[in-house]
Amino acid sequence: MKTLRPLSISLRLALLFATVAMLAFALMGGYLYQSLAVKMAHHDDAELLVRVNLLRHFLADVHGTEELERSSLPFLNGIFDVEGCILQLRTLDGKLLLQTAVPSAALPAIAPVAASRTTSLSDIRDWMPAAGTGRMLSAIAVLGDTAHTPVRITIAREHSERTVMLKRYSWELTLVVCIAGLLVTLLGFLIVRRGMQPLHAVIGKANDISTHRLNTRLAVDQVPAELQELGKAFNAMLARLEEGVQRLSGFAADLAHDMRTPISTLRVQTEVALAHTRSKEEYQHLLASNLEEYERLAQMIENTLFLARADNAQLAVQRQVLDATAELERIRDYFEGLAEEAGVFLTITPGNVCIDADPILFQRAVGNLVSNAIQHTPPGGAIRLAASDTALGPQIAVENSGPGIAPEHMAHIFDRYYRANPARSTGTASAGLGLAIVRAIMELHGGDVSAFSVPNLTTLVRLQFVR
Amino acid sequence: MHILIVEDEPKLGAYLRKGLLESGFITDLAITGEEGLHMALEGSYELILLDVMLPKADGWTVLRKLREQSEVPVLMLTARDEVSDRVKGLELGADDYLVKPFAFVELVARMKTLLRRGPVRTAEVIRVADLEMNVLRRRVTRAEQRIDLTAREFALLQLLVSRHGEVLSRSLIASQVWDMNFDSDTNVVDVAIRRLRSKVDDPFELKLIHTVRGMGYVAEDRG
Repeated sequence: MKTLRPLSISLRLALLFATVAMLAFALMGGYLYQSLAVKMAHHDDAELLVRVNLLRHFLADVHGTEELERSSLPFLNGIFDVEGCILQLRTLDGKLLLQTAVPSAALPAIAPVAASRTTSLSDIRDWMPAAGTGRMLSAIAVLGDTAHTPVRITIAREHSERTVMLKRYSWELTLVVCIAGLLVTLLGFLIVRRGMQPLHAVIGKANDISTHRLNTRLAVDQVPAELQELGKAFNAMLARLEEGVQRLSGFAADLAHDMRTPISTLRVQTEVALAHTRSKEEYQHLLASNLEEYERLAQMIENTLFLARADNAQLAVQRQVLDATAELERIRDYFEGLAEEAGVFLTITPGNVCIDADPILFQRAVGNLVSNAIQHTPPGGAIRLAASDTALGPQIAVENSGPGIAPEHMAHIFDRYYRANPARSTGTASAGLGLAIVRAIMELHGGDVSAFSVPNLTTLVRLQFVR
Repeated sequence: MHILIVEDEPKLGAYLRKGLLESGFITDLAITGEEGLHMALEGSYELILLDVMLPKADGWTVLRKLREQSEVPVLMLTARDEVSDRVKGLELGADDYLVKPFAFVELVARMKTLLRRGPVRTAEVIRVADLEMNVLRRRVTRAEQRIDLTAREFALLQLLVSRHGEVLSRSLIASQVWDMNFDSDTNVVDVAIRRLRSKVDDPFELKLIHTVRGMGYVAEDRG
């Protein structure tokens, strides 16, 4: 299924903005409409009261039913002939004296206000004409004759006029709200787009970056505050990429360079051997010698790959709790014969220390250090392995007597392919990588490695693990 | 022992056949994945050496289809050794995994392990020529003469004679005798062998421990 592309931020913001604006307009329109409707209703009700009161006064001056029927009714019929207004006058026994207009639906019978009481707003009732709503009021008036003949007044209003007006008003309001909403959306979109300009500048900058120009950086102080964090993160990512690419090309160069030695050996010895017919023993010797060079190449690739993966944290570290002293004993056991042949004493200063580490990587790190130490300790010297607990965490120390490391080499001994003495260690496969591997292993464990040396006396390498 | 090799690199394939023939295996060679799968399903092989990068169908595909019908042991050969690749191979049902470039002796050792069905029975007394090793009593004699060995020397000699005739690489020896599982470039194993020889071989006419240059060591009677 094809997934929809997410909306652009500009459009998203403009739509949100428009929604909020529409909501506000609609609320405002609703309020205006309501308050107008209430005011109009109130106005109509007040008018009903006034009319009933006027009628009561008018009827009080009519002397008897006769006069009423003769002169007053035509007059009243004339002045109440208003659109939407119905006036009924009845005697108390229900005889219709006057009806100015026929109501669109029958008027309900409601209790009239007694003659002794003044009418008020609360006496007004609703009724249901054929269309819309209506209001009505009923009251008793007395004529001005001596008998005080009572007459029942009913005035009703059909609100159709008002309804039509309100309807038109609501249409106008809706239209205005819609137009305003569209206008706000459009303007919002334009404004947001303008506001997004700095983002496009960042994109332009990002487009300029290629592997050859990884040193390009965004000018963080020239972008708006919101984009500064993004700019910083972006720059940090560039820095990491640059470092990674440099490291990678460094790796490739180092590896290629280091492979030249064994390959030229292989090539020369094979060419020389093939130039003339040789004895069987010579061929066997050649093949065996080639095999040793192949072994070196394979080791070199293996070590380089190990470092590359450690750099990318692609190695799975399978941690176990190790008894440091027992592990050191095993390593001493392994190297003891070699040390004896070299005339070097291998001792352990035990400590009750537990280390959370990958056992094979631990062996490899300490093994590399011990094998290095045996190579650099003169006969009669000593190598001391120690495990101790420090404030930072468990620590393994490998110390050997001997010429030590010259200060100018000290900063580089853990670098890949670094050799203090280029001519010396060409015989071994991991030459130049052993200490780099130690450092990589320590970094995989979150710890680090450090070295100290007193020339012509001692060299100390410390593996600091974390708790 | 009938072995199928599925390997598209002609030189490597040819030399694998030659080497395995000399080690006592009968081999067939397939050079594409399709051909390999067909042969594996039609023939009856005791072990299959399967390269991962193959034309037509790669090693993973061959392995998956093969496992639908057959339980024959499969040893994968590959130049890629990312952890995820190993896991993939083992999940699909490979029995072992060997990364190129590998040592031939290592390949033979792994093949023998895969072919050795069931638990390995350690012999109580091992004899090679006039050397007699009593594993239970931890006694070693040559020509009736008692030889005193340290614990490590005993373990080393036991490894060599229990697999006599088989070339053992240095890393295998370091792993089996000292449980050191990293490839180091030190000559610890050579020193240990030298010391062992001084006790086991030097006083006698017949030498039993031989160096195979570039590969490792083998114990055998070449007299």
